[in-house]
Amino acid sequence: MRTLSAIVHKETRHHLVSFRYLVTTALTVVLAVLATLAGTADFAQRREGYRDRLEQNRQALEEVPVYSYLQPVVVRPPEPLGIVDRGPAGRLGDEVVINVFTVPAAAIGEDRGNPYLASFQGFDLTTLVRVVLGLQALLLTFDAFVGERDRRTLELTLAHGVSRRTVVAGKYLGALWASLAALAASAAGGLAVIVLWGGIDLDAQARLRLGVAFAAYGAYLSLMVLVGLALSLAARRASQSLAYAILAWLVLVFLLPSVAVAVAAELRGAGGEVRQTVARLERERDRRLDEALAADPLRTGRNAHSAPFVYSTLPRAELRRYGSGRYYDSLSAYHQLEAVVGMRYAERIFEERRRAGREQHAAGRAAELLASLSPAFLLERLTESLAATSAADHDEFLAACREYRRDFIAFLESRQAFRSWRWFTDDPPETRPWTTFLGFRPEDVDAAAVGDLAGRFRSPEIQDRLRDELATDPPLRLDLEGLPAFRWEAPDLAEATRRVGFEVALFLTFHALLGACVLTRFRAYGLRGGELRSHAR
Amino acid sequence: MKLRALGRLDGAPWRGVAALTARELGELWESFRFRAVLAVIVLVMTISAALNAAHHHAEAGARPEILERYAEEIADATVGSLADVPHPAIKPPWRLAFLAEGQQRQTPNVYRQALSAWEVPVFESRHRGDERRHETEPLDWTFVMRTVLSLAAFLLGYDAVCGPRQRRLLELTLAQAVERWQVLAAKLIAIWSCLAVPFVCGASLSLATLALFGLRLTGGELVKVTLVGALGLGAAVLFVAVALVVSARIREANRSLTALALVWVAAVVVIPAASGLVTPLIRPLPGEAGDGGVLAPEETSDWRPPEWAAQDDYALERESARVHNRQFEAAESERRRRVEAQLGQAALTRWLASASPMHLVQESAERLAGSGQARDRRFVAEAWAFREVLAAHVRGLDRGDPESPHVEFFSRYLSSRPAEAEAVPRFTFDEISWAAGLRLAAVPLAVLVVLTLVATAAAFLSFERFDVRGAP
Repeated sequence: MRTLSAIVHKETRHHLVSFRYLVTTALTVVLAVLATLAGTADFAQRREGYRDRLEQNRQALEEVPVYSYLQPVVVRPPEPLGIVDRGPAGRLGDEVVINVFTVPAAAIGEDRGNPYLASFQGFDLTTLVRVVLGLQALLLTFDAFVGERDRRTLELTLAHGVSRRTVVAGKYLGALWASLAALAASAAGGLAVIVLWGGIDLDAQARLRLGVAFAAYGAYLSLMVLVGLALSLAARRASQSLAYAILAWLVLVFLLPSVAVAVAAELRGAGGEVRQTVARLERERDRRLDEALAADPLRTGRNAHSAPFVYSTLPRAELRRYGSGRYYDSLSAYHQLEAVVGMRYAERIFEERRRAGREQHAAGRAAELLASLSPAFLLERLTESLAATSAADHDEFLAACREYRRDFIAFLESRQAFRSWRWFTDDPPETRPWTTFLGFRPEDVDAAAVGDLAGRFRSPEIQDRLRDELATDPPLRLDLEGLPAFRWEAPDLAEATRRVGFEVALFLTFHALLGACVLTRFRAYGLRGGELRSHAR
Repeated sequence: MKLRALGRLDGAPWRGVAALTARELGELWESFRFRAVLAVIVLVMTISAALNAAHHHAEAGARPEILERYAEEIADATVGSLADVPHPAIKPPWRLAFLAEGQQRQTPNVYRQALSAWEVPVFESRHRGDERRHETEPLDWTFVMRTVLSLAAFLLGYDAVCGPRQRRLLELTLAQAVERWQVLAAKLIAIWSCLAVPFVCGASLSLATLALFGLRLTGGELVKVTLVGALGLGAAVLFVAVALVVSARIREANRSLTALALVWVAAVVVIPAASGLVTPLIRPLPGEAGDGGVLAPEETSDWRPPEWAAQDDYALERESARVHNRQFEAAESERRRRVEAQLGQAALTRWLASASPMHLVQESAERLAGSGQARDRRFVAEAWAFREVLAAHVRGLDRGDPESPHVEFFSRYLSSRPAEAEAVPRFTFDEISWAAGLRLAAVPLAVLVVLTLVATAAAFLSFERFDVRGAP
């Protein structure tokens, strides 16, 4: 144990004072601070935008006059750990409009930022660890064995009765400590920015997640150290080992994930077929509803009963005024049917989308598995899940939106909103059809006289009266007591970890395989040769 | 045997260089490094061509979908309702994405604008793609040049000078009455050849793959391909020269490669990333205008049905239209200012990132190909100009109808005559020609040439002063 400790101490000290270590660590710390500064500024902007939108939505709800206009907008709060790993969540939208006629399958609201800077802005702490610290781990270990063999110091060490296993463990731990020290320095810089400059107070759950994310970084560095050690044992010369290490880094960190992810994207296709199916279903629904609307002649065209004022600024939402009670009863019957048909088609469209999504996912799965051979790709998957910025987290948010939609529909049903006039008008129960402004009840107006009456209704006196009435009789507001509130919390740590069980298992498997490979190879490792033998070749 | 061959070099400097080059080439071609470089470059370029061709076909297939929907929308349109229809301006899928993708799959490619002041025009990114996927580098020739070719040059050249010195071969070589410049020139040519061969093979296979996928290039596109290919070969000279400088300055092969790896990380990762991180801090974007916020004029209730408004010759509506159009213009100029600011921010980032020679290569390649920011700027400018074309068309139709109230551009107060769908102008995008691309790339290309000359001169000077005696 003392021998192991001595070797670890020697190795760590050797790494800490080396030029390559100091340069990469300095680079990493500077970049960590910059990346966190940019991430913190972005988070602050998103948080401010989130609060503004919440307030806007709250005010909009307060002014809703009729139930069809009641379409709450739910917004996903920005994740503070997005500073550490942006993940794809930002690109997938954070806002969903809840209504009766659509089951949420996607969010709107794009990533706030500059789309022309996209290729420059993906840099976060995870990228830094993946690229720069990953390279550093390889640079620390490429000559661990082959270098010592060239210098003949390995032979000396073993001559002192130190077991080969101890030498491997010492070199592994020495390089790992040094890598972790660089990680700790970068993390300290980043956290200082988050807390001191950004003033972001992470809650206990976020701190826990952050801690586990740093553990994942450590595991990645450990894997890269093992890769470096394995390459050092495979090469004849230190320079050859370094060349291997850099090629391995290029392939593992850049090429393999890029190629596999691009292949996966092409295999998944664009979902053109589902778009067509959805469009067909929507047309079918609209046709059915149009037919239902036209079933009662009272509801089509202008007549003495119909409402001359119709406002419609949201999908399938309308506000009517100055219609007759008969007209409103007929409309109410239609809207009841509209709700039933609309909800049925919403479910069908959602199922189509879900099925297509599953098929797309299955098509790209093989290529994603190929990408999983890269520790860098695995690290991305792990940390974005811990940061709650993964695509799976976005799916959870959408699932919460669907749950909320069910509660929302239950609320509407409890208010009997679909069968109420209040779905489409804020006129009082004792209606004031437009013909009454001319002294006629709608029932008394002959169809042929409607055109003439409409012309008289256009007279400046009537228009002034209406304008005065509109000014003094503002629309009624809906009582929204009991409207359920949307709540969203990122999945807890246990759930986040469970979701990436496959990635964790792969990480552990790679560790076990590489560890065994290094131990086995070093057991049979020749202590002579190296430089001289290769020169002779 | 090889050293003996150098005895024939007296009096024929370039023949000597040729003989030395042949020897260097022989050594390099047998090495694992060269084979790995060859495999990686050829593989990446071929896969990239296949993926880009497949993607192009899919995006080109998705484009008619938008246009078909648009055609449906205007099929039965009246002159007035043309004002409410969002007319799409679509940036066509980028055919040369295999050459220089230039963020063309991320930046907005659809601009929808209606003439009505009540409709907010929007730039959208309607790319065929999987937004859920991880962000990775686009695979194209530029990626190969910037990332793979540079690292390959460093891998092949890191021990070109210090390696033979350590093995005491350099001393022996120079003892054969060979000039130092000849040795270095031979090394430069040999390493460059070891990069050029995989690159040319990869490029050829890439073009063959495109042909297999049915993507036929036009004459102008082939000129662009040639120019970018030539840029890649030229950039390889720069990368090799840098490797030789480091190899001549640092006398140990391991340290040389470590230093080169750090230079590579700084140039490929650190400088572009730092530029992207710093720019938003030093040049933030102006505040955003929400879609339904202050910049979007809202439809108000003071618009009367046309038959009512006709009584006073639409006096109220005309006044209201003037106000709304003025509001729209103010809001639109604010939106345009924001897009300009975004483009300006991206330009500054690219300018800062040009401190890296690898990024400079990318920038030059994108400009030569007519991709990147130049293409984005052109699309934005042409999409904005398209509004005027549409407005002139609808205005012309509306003026031809004496019964129209001519309240521009509010559908219910314009002509209700049917509009001929075929006659509605469609947006067409003019790609940047190779000549224009060459002009755009003149400055970064000039900087690259200067850098290459400086690096080559530095390599020769370093080698002239190099102590060839190896370690005892």
